[in-house]
Amino acid sequence: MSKLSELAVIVEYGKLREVEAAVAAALDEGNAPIDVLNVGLVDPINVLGEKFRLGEIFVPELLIASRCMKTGVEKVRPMLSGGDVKSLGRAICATVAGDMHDIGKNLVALLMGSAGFEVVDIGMDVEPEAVVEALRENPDTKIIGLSALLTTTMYSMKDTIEALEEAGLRDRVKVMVGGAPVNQKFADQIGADGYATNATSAVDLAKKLVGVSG
Amino acid sequence: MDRSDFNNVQKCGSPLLFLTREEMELVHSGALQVLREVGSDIQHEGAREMLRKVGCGVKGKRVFMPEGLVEWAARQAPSHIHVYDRDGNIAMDLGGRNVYYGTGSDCPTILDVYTGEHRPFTYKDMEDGAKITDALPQLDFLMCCGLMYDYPVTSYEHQYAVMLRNSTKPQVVTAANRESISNITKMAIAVRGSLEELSKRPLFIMYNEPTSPLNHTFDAVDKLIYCAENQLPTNYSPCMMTGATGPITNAGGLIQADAECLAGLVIHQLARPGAPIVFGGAMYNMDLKCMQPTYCSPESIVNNIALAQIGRDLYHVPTWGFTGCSGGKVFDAQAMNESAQYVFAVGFGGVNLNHDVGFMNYGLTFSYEMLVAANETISQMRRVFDGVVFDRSHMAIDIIKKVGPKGHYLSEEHTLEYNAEMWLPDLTDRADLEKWERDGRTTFEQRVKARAIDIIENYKPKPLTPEQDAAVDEILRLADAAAEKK
Repeated sequence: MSKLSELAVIVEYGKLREVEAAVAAALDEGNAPIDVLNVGLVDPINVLGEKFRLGEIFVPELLIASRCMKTGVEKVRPMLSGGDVKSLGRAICATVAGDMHDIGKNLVALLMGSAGFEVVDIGMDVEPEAVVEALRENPDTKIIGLSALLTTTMYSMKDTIEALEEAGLRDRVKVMVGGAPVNQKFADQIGADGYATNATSAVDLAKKLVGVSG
Repeated sequence: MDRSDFNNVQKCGSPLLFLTREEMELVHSGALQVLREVGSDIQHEGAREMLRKVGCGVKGKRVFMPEGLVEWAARQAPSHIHVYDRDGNIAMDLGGRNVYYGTGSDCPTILDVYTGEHRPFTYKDMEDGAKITDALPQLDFLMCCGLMYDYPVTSYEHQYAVMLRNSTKPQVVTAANRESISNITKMAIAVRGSLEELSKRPLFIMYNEPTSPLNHTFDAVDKLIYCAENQLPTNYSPCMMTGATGPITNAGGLIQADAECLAGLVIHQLARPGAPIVFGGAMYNMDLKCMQPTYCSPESIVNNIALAQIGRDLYHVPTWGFTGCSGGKVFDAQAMNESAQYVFAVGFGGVNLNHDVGFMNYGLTFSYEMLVAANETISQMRRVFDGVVFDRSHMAIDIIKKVGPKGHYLSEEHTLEYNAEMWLPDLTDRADLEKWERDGRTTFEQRVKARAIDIIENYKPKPLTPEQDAAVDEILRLADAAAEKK
């Protein structure tokens, strides 16, 4: 097996401690950094992402492999030119004000990261103004994902969208919403651009919103 | 999915016990009083003679057993019976609180998987039942499911041949009489090589029963003696309908059932001290409106587990149980509810050899859908019985420290590693609504039915060797010829 294929296997199986050495071995073998990135690091995540979507693997398998990929990317990044690292774009994820439930938001953030988004996770109980501030700090953001578990807090999503409108930033981003009490009708009522029922379909939705087919 | 690596013994701080030590003694004492004072009707002259010689009073067919003899017999029987599969591998360690599940036997009708109708049980159904039981990882042993009307005299022999040919799992067998159990033994010997090998590594357990109240038929006693003489394991399980063939109260039913079991135990141990026997039985109340045995009523569950507790904790013998059955007529919510309750209860009760998975309609109808569904229930329950594992890594304090407040465990290797210990559904739906709808909006019943049909049509059990197969054919031919002559 080539060192490049070995690297892909190590990433796929989530062997975190072996990734850096495997990246070095693949480079030593004479592979171009861009091939190490695409074939050795990104491809296995795409394979796992599909397996996860089909229900063949568990979420920690995908997430641990993603940590491997990120570790590997840091290693090859200095050798790549700016355009080499492809990203689907930046996304901000938050659990809205008043709500301390973030495991669903975390899952969406992690899966979006695995799928190729650069995710800025700004945590839970996030006030509308803080979302606006995060967007100012990350002006290239394409998507804002808002989450709530409680029927009492889901209206913070509406407040957040209104805050974006007042700041004059609403048109610059797509807003997607989710969480147990949320549905498509609510998403439409508050003027969100999309709603997804679970983390996997949230990734598909995010891709659709930025114009990449899922 | 195969979860056979889960433990069979439930591990929790306080195992389910219905009776205190004193209550077990009350039942035992009551049974001794019945055996000595009321006596048992033993319809077997040889057995009566044997009992007379050791000091029992005998008056006609009535035998009065002294307390000391009964307690002597209880001390002789072994506390564990090891049962082996067709390939000779250890399959069950009957004893202690080990829990095993298997089908029931001799239902006149089957609930047809394809049409949903109740119809007479056939040879083909027996083949299907053996294959399904063989394919389901949580079913530990096999009984014949239904009664084949294709062979009126030698049905037990033919049922056994079908079980032997379509499953490697050990069996609990029913037989008409000494001749039929000896024919079955010959078939098992065709697999093991000799009687010595068969008694060393038993492939089957004989199912045997007294007739409540306090009556022991010639054939039942004769089969007990046959098994004892040949060192082949048997049970002796009353099927008492309390309110009709036994007192309606739990305590009264237990005392009479204990007396019936002990009478069989005495005969069995006199025939050959130390021979292996499984203790326990059913006391299901008759519903006094519809006049049907309730089979899986709450009272019968308590009785079944309590008698097994007496067997295990007072007499130190392996125990017999009932499970996975329903009074329902079709595979519906009632069937699933009753079946699952019983699977859970005997598991927590620590009863060893639990049969009748798949029974419906008070044991008159067998359902392969029930069997497939119970496999899922047993699988879940075995995970529950496993309880909590305590070691450094399972206690996970290091990981709790590492993740800290507001963190999450989704990307931790610890999560991935121990996720492998989580129970995984096979037919149970856990999808979100959207995925469930995309996958065809199937109900549990529909998935169970599809699985049963898939096994019937596609499962290929491991066959006997050609030599074993030919030997079984010859035994059947001789049995049929002998039946013809009569």
